[in-house]
Amino acid sequence: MSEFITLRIREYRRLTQDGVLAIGLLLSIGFLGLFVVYPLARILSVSLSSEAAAVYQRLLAARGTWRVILNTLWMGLGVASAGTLLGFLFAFVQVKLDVPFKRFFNLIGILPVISPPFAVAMSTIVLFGRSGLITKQLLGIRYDIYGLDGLILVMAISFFPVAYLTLLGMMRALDPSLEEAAINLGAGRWRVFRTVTLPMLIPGIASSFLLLFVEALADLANPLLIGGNYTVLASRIYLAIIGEYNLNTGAVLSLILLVPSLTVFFFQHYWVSRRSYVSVTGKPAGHHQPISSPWVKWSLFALCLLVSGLVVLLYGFIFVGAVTKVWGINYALTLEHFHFVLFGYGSEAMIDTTLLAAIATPVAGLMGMLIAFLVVRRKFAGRNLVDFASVLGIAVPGTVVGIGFILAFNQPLWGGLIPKLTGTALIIILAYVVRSVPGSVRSGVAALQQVDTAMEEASASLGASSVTTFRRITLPLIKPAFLSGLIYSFARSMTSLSAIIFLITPRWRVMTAQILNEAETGRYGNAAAYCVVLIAIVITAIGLMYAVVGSTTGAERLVER
Amino acid sequence: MKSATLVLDNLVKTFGHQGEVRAVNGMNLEIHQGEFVTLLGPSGCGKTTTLRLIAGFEFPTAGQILLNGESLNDVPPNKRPMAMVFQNYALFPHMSVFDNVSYGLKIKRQSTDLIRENVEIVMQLMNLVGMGDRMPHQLSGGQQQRVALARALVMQPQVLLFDEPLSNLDAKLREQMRIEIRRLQQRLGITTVYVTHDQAEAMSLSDRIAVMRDGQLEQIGTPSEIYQHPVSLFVADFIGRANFIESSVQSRTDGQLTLELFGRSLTLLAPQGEFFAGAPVYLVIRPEAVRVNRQAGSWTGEVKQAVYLGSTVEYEIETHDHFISVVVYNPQEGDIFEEGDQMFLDLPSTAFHVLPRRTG
Repeated sequence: MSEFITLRIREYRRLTQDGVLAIGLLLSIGFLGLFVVYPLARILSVSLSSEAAAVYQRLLAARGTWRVILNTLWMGLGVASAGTLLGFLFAFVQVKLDVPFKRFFNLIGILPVISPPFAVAMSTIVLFGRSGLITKQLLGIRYDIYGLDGLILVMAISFFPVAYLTLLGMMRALDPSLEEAAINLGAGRWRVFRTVTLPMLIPGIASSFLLLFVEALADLANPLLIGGNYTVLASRIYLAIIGEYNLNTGAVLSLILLVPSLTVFFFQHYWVSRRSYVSVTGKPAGHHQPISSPWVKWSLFALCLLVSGLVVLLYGFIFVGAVTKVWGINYALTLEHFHFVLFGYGSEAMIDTTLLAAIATPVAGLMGMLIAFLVVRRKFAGRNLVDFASVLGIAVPGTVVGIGFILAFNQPLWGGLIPKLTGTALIIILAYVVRSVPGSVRSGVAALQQVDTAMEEASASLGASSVTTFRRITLPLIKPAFLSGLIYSFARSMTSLSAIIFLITPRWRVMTAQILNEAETGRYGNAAAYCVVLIAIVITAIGLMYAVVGSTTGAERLVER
Repeated sequence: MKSATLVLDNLVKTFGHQGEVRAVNGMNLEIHQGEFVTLLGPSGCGKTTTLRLIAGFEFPTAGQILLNGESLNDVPPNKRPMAMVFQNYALFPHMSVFDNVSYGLKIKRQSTDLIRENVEIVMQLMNLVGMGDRMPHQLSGGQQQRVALARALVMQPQVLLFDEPLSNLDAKLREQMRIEIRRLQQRLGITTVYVTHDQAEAMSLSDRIAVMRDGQLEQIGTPSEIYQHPVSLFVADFIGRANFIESSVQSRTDGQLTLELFGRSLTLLAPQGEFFAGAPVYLVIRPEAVRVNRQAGSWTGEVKQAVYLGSTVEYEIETHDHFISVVVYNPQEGDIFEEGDQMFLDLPSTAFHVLPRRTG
């Protein structure tokens, strides 16, 4: 036992010998501890306090609460199923079918990632709602899109890229010789699919399902807009805070929401994702035999086309809404919505959001890289804890993060060392960073695992300190991952709603909250214009980042083994 | 160039939560100034781990490493005056050859002029003149290897470390590089530790070979000592090939050992080791020491397998219920046998080596 302790102490001493690295470790642990763990701890302490006991009794006695919990679970299951199916369809068509428009389908599969949280919901309402363009005006039926069906439709379309990308990577990395061996032994196509292909994809399917479940549970925007009377935990928490000003209820509900979210998330993170033996590098491992049966081929193609058409329609229609007088009703062209957003009262939100996200992005990017480096390349006691904490920011639903921040920072800490942060711009930036770091860490970890450690060891054997090695060898080689981490952070921050909805004030306006505002008050035109501007900003930022962080020299290609 | 003595003192390295895997299990080794020592052994014997311990990429569980008498245990890898050449070269793909080679010098904060001068010298030494601007992926395997070596040499290290550097090269290139490495090392006189599983490499490069097995040193000696006087079956079998014939000691007098061989007595003069009458032993004889003849010889045998390899012929010969491997050089000058041939064997007593045998 004492040998164990001696070894651990020696490990730490070696780590701290690298002065600046030690500071980096302190920084990241300090950040995670203060802004991720502490707010959660505050929620736990409030929701498990004696005052909370009364709230629990009241809530759990009410049938309404159980209805909300059940609603949430049903919604999660529905979205997870639909989204995974869609993702599977698109991935299958990409990898296994020889059909036209594959690049187009790929774009569709990724498009929803950069879109604002309300875009699809609004389009859906205008197209398929009670006075919907398609439902009422075209088909003459009166269909109530609000509720579970609308939620599942909108969220499946918004989240299926996660499933698509996961399954795409998995399918591509599948060894085709396994299927060929099965065929050689006499198995027909369907049997091969059923007994060889599908079982090997189960980790990917399970992964996607679980991830989508968690995303659905955490989402606030859609339940607010298109949920109608179908209340879920996220919207219930929103009501508790904004409607009732009741932090206790909010904290208690957050805990209730945390239980399924965190359980499912960490089940996926530590158990399911570890069980896949295929590495998701996106490189084809061999030649896949495309499906030749025309029935299968063209019906799947048609399905894909149909879904793509729907997606294009939904997103395209936003543009229509942005430039017409009254969305879906009056098609007279107008620029008044854009004027409102860009120059009028709404421009403040646009500037504020972009500024805050722009500040948060490099912070999250660097922090993520630093943590990824520490977790992958350095052995130290507590490494698993750091890994765990670095993922919490996204494992926890946004609303919970928001409440945690309020509980943690609505008074000064440590005798004023940390001032009261609620109501400031800083707290919004911090929320953005906390939500973006996990994605940054993930892409950093994936990239670092591709870089040969021999390279870094060679640098050390030539006299370079850890920092110099990181700066001159590692960082250039993981530039693409760093870049995608930055893009992800910016997009995530710009389109974030649930985390910051409780943190905004009249002084600091955020575009997504404004969109919610405009949509709730029926000013869909303005909301649509906001969406268009938001998408434009994100795309511009992506372009700028590619230009600044630099063209890829091709060096990373050589790093692939 | 200052060269160093390196001492491994009871070095232990374990892996696993309870330390189940004892990769290095008590290594004691003394490497003298300017000496070329090879760590040789099969995969999993701990040679690479030992090298990484010396370089500082692994930290010893117990024991220490002394450079010129001073312990390196608390010295991080980038502060050790050693340079390492990696198995897959580990050239920085995003830097030119010049930038790769000058990398360590920049860290040492040498002036630009001095760097340029030093790099030019070492590039000339390694036959890389004019390739400074090329990128690693534009070079052949052999060139990449030379750049890796140049990058290490330009640091003027006190110890040079090699981790199986030639295993990715084809046979001809391997031989060429072997000669170059040896030539350079002798000229520069740098203390060198070399890891390989290829015994031909070890034999041709080393001043001394350290044969390793299961994390421990099995035998250390010059190539001829190792080959002619292996201390164990493992070493005898790992270096070169060997025939092991079961025997026992019949009698022992000063300077002479009489043993049983195929029913007759064999007397060896001045054999090494303590053997008493009645002790079970192995008689070890190398395949190339066995003489074969169609007409006459001490023992008869039947050829069970014959493989003609051009410069040699390899036979498996059955005699007295034993299978003896035989290698004949310049086969054209003597008899060449085929499978099934009956022939004669001669086993010169001077070619035998005796090793203890455990029974039961």
